[in-house]
Amino acid sequence: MLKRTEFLSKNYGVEGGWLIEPYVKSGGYQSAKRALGMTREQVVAEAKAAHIRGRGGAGFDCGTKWSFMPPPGDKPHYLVVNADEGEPGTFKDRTIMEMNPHALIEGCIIGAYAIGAHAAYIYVRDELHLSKARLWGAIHEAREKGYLGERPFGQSWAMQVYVHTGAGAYICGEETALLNSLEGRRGEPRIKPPFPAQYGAFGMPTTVNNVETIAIMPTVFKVGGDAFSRESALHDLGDGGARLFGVSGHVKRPGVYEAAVGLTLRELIYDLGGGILDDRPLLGVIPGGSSCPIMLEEEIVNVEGDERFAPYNGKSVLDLPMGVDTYRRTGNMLGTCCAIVLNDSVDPVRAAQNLARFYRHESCGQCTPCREGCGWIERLFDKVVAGEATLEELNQVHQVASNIMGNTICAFGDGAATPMLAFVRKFRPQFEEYVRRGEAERNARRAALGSGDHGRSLASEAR
Amino acid sequence: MPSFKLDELEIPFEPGDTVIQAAHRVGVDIPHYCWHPGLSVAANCRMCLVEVAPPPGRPAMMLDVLRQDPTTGEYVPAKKPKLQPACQLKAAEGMDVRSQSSPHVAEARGAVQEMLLLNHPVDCPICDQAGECRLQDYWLEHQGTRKRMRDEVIHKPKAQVFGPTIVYDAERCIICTRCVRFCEEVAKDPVLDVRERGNLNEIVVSPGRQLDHGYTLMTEFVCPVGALTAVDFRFKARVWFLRSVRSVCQGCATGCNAFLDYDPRNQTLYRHRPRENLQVNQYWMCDHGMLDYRRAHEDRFVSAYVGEEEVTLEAGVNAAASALREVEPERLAVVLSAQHSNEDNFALLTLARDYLGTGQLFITNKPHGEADGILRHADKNPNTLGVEQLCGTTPPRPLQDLLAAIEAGQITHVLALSSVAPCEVEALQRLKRLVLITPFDGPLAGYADVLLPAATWAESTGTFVNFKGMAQESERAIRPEADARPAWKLIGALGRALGYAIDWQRLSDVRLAMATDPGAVVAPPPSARMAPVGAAE
Amino acid sequence: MAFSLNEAQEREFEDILARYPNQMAACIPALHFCQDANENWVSPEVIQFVAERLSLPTAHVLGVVTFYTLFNQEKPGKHQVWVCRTLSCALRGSEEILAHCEKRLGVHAGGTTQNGRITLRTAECLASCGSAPMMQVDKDYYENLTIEQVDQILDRLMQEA
Repeated sequence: MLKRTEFLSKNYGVEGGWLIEPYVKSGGYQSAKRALGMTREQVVAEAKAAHIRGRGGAGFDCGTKWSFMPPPGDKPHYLVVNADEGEPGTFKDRTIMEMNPHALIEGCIIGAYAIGAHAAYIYVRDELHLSKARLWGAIHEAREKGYLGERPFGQSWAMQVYVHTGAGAYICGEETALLNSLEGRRGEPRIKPPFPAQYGAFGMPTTVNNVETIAIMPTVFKVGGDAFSRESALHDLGDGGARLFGVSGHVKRPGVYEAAVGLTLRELIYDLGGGILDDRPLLGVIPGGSSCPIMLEEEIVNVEGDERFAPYNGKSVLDLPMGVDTYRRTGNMLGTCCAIVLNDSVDPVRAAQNLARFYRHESCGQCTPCREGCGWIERLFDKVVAGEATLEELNQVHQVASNIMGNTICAFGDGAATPMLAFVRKFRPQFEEYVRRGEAERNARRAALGSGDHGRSLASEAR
Repeated sequence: MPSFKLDELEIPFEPGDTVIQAAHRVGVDIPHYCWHPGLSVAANCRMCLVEVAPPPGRPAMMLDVLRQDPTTGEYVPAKKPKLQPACQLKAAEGMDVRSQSSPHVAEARGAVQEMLLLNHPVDCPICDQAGECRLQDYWLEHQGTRKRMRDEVIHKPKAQVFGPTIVYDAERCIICTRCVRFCEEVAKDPVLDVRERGNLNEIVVSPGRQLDHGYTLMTEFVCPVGALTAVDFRFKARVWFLRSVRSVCQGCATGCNAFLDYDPRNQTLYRHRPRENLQVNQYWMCDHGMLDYRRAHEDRFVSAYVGEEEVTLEAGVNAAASALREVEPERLAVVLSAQHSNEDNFALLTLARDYLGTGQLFITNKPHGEADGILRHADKNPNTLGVEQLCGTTPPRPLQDLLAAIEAGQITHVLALSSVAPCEVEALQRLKRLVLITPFDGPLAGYADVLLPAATWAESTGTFVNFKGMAQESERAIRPEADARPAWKLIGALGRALGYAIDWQRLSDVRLAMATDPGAVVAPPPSARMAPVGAAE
Repeated sequence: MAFSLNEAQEREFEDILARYPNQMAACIPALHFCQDANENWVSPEVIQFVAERLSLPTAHVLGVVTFYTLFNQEKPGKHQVWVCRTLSCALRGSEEILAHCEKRLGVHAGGTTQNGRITLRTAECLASCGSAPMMQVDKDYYENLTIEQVDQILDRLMQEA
């Protein structure tokens, strides 16, 4: 159900909308002030009531995650904000940092207080220079106003926010790789356990949250957790509030749109995105970043034994509300809610090759299946596209991907294997076509060589 | 003791153990590359993946994969359980772990194995690791198929000199990071790291540095494949021709447990490798110790000498006997050696006290050197404590005291074991006779009137007591060269030439005699597990 | 030639260090800072400098430098141009943009123009999918590109003083 909202995006496109003045004028920093007047437990409870499923792609409930943090003790706690946005197709966090940075800074105060931290690090990928500048600007403004520093809002909860930059590595979006990178190491994911809540940044209890997850917190405390959750059509499924949806690729109006949770892909593509580019038929949609399996319009929802799914059964997956659990239960993945739309002009084999290259390029190389498997799949796809692959080699793709799946240190392996499995499964005829055409060409070349006797004449010339 | 189930075995564990650790302790090997019992857990090779049955009533975590119908060629969606690395998985009471018995584990390990070899040059015929390479062993056990990727492999630097002792081949490297972790955690010198990322990863030495700390050969030794090779061993031998004995390093008083590898065909030693002993050296040895085996073939005496003249062993023993016969017991000193085993020293001590009747007992040793706070001890002698224990309440005096006594004219004849000395020994020229029993050339040898060629530690079995007081046996590897004989045997022959009833024909004879002497310790046979060549951690 | 910072830069460097509970954490920001101060590349001297200042093994710093794509191990051109080529941009014509750049500049991706003004590179997803195709020029994003706009940008970069 399409319900546009403006919790985060009200000032998008407004000149100077990123400065503190307009932000404060519309009630900014009142939520942080309110939260600091509550107990930690109350803050966590409020967040839980909002049912904010992590906006970075994993979809874990934010309030629950906060509750995993140990009570404050001798060790400092840290809040780390994952602003390493780089999942292909995903470009929503950047809009917050560029156009509503104070929501993130205010959210940091709330989140840090909730987990007992006095410092928050926002890990921004280095390429986002404007985001970094706007965030630093917001931090300085907030310090000047006394919202950050030794006594924010006169409360005895010292609070600092820092921007930390990466240096070009998609894997640093994985939370433990991000922590290693924050600590000045190679961005290789850590083995878990221990989880960040026990052993995170600098070995201290840490929570890592996505930019949007944190930036929506001021809204939660403004409208109330439960009220905010009820904005969503999926409130009953524990998937609350409103969020940013992105749509890119073959749509007429690509961009970021804010709407209540429960929007369908069809609404995102046709109502918000303006429909398919050139009004061509839809080939498929990758719903939330390239690690999600591609979805086809003809795929039908069929979830048995759960009456909450009854309204959607028998419908196209495009008409299923976009939620963490609605997607999970139907064998799909919601990811970041930033869809890549492919119309029928796209060659799915080349699209798969494009993503295989991405994953090979971004694999950290720490563990065997991902390091070697991603490279292997890319090679296989390169050979398919070049017409050099045999059917036997095409049949290796799903085997390699299935053996990356689940066997790696972090979720990158699954994220690389899942789309590959979906592409070969859903577009097998197109892949086979490449192989057949390649074989035919090779045979023709061989025949031409054989009849012309090139081999022998070259040899005799050399003699 | 709590336990868990590994396939059909019941494995006991200590709290905090990982599954692989507990299994390793009872001698059950879960296949692995990156895990090492003495290093931190990296869990990067993924070879030790195991399946863990979910707790009763709980569903297993399943993952979506794809299979293919063999007849139609159609894809078939399938599920597989999420596997866990045994090196990272904490053991828990009653846990049901499936390693060999799980088809999912078999598939995963086969896949990991194939992926590790994907860009590997498979140059086993010219690789020194061949025969003790995990890639070979596990290929046989877990893969066994030909390489499906038939394209050119990714090329990386080969034969990179990492330092004076070690060469690196990045194409053979599986990036298990054992070497990186070893340098940081054990050698305390983080001189190695990984560079690049993805399948371009390789190991790199700190710019401006070399791999030149005191444990470079150990850094090489922890490499489970042929990526790091030791200059000392490269292209020298094929490991399948080598045999191993359990020896004790002679380099210092730590007494690191080692394997001494030799070729029985040419009776030549090729290398020292550490042998696990958690009380002594854990899994490690220092460079000095690992290269110390070479000494057994250097600066040797392998025949008897009278003055400058090479003589038969019999003539040498007789000359030694007549030299000792001409002196009063008060003017005769006997020098024990911290370089020799308890058995050798016991034989000499017995001859001195019980037959020659001299109480003038001294000890010689190599000068002290540096300790490194890791393994290396300042005392560079393997058996200082053993000799002291042998002598009981009247400890031997240092060599310096003997030299003073010689200067003072109190001592005119000396019977000494080994040619080492902790100090200048010019005073020895004032002696009338020096009878020396030694395997090696050294400061004392130049003053010897009669020299009998002793076997080295590699050529004879003996007991050595390390600085902690642990008596350890070092086994004989090769036959004594030429006329060389174990020192205790030469001492027995000398005694008989002097007319005493000493009948030590075998080592067990000496040890039987030692059994009646409370100070004479014989080590039990080495207790650490015997590993075939190269199979130790 | 050894790398060093001037007085003002030193103060800024110290500010970076102050943000973190330990020195190692400053490794990446310090490398960025020094790269900016060293004509956009991390020379062996910069690695040495950062290692010494942060008390890190040089192998660690080299490992970090080579892990991340934005540390240049060779001196790039005066301007760096990254053309994003991941899926969303590819769907909207990034291949044509890249091919056009290569032709215009006479270099392949990864190369630097003969006059040393522009280094052309490809990039994986720069989080600008909704405004594809796009490219990054030094620190700025140029989005919703057409070939004409690319020409204007490249002309400016090639000609400006």
